[in-house]
Amino acid sequence: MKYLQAVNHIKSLADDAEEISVLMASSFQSEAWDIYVQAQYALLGKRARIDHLPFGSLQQHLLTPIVTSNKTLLLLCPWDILPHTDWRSGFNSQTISRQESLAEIEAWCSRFLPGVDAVLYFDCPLKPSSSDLHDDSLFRAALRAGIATHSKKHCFIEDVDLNLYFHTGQMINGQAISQAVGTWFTVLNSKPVQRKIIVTDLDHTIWHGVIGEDGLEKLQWRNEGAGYPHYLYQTLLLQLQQQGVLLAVVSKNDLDLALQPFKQGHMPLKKNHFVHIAASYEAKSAQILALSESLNLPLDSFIFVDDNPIEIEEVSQAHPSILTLQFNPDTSSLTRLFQTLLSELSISNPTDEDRQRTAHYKTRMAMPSTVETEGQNLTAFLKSLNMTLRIRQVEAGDHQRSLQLFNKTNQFNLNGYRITETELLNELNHGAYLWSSELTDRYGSHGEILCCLFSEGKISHLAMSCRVLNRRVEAAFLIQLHEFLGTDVIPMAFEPTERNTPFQKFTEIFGENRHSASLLSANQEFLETVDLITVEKAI
Amino acid sequence: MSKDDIEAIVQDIFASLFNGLSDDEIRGLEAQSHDRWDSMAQVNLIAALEGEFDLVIDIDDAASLRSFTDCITYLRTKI
Repeated sequence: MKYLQAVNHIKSLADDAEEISVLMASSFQSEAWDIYVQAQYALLGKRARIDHLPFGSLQQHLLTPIVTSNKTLLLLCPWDILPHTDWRSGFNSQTISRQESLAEIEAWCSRFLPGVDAVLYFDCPLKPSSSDLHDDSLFRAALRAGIATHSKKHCFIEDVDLNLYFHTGQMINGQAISQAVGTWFTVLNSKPVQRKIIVTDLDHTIWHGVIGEDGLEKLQWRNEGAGYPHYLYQTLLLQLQQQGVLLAVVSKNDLDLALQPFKQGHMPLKKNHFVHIAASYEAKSAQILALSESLNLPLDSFIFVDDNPIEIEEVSQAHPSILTLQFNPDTSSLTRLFQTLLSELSISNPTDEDRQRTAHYKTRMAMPSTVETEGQNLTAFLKSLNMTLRIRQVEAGDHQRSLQLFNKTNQFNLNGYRITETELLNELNHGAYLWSSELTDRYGSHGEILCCLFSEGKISHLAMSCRVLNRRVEAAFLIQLHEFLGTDVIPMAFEPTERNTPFQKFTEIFGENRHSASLLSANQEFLETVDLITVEKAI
Repeated sequence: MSKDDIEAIVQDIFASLFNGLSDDEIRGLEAQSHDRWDSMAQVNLIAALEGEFDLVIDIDDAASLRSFTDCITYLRTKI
């Protein structure tokens, strides 16, 4: 975007455009960036009012932030984190060890970055501070890792003009600023896709060979010969499954043939590791669509792996939001496949809930769909499920599943607000209540499917897993919450988002005021939930 | 690009940076006689010219652009 284009975008905003205040926090004078940032917001229909920090006050601001802006965008130089690497301060006798520098990077990033909305980091050569030539690359890698790990959203700018920095304090020239802001906003506006399930082919993918032609004995999947790539693939899938990723098979085969190697029980992957094994001669795109509907998982949460490029193309054309990956046993292709699967799916610190996810989804698949049942039939159907909701108050230290639900759930989410572990613990330490609920029915347990944070007199966060949508679990929980709090009206920090349509529909039962869960205005269907779900509580 | 085209674009850039000035005032603008043309305004002006004309202005040249006329003269040699 050219400079005058940016000016014109801002001028074309309607007089009543939504206003947003943005703090551009940097240790250098960044006013030249304003026009492009304002233009990017103008493209979103917002009028941005931009503030800057007084020169030289970045560290002070980070230590004691005075939050008056809707957004804080941080333009970060390496020397904001490691001051002794700043070229403009010249060389001096100050010496800092490698270990101290690395520790400082981690401490700084973990302390300050979680509170910032987005970071634009200038990845440039550091002023040498030791005789070891490897330190520069070591520190630069550690800085990038620290920023990538601890920031909500970030992008790296590499074409820094050090000569410009020496003379003006600016990091990049005006020509590059527009491009950098464009990249930054692409990152800022990106919505991470949450992949949850791998749908895999069998022949020449899970194993080497074709079960229908070669027979069971000729299939290779052990860690030797032609089976090695398939052994590695199976063990990776097993690892991901144990971390909470769902696995499914979609194969063009006869079902009894497809199941034979699993029944034999020698392979790393067993039948019970899969939420579903589908084998038929239907188009794979159709089989995946049916699976998506029965699991109530959106297609963009799917990854499809197949050795056959024609199958890949067929699925890709029918469902562009599915990530399709080809299984190719050559080493470099295989490495790329494994890297992609890990980066798209790997879950750090899996909870018990993650480990039991396959079982919970199998429970869901075993029962008829609520969508197909309406009105009186639906009420009778829900009653027949013998649902029990166990509500308990969650203490600090037992909060991982709640954190996961708040930060990963999009559909039945009060407002889409994300919360860091530090923020959640801080809330709990300051008197907030956190509740979690587990649902069981006659088909088994669905695990912890709902959590709610009550802070400063209102529900600030409420999220429920999409696998129990339409069960009226949310109503049963809220009725219980009214009883616990001794009130008919509970304020809620409700915000509509692009993806929380189910929650938006739910709020309609409270009438016009969608920012309060009120028993006084709730409809009859809501109140009758008490007859459908038995509540066991420990709150 | 003709001299008139360059002048019209630079005029718009100056108008966005030093708002409230008439066209004649902009065409006669010099850093030394205008108190809003400080070091930050100089940085913003150079960044704006670079961003609009898709060029990188050398540090020494950037320091020498101290009036509307300087900018026009410089840009005519570069574009």
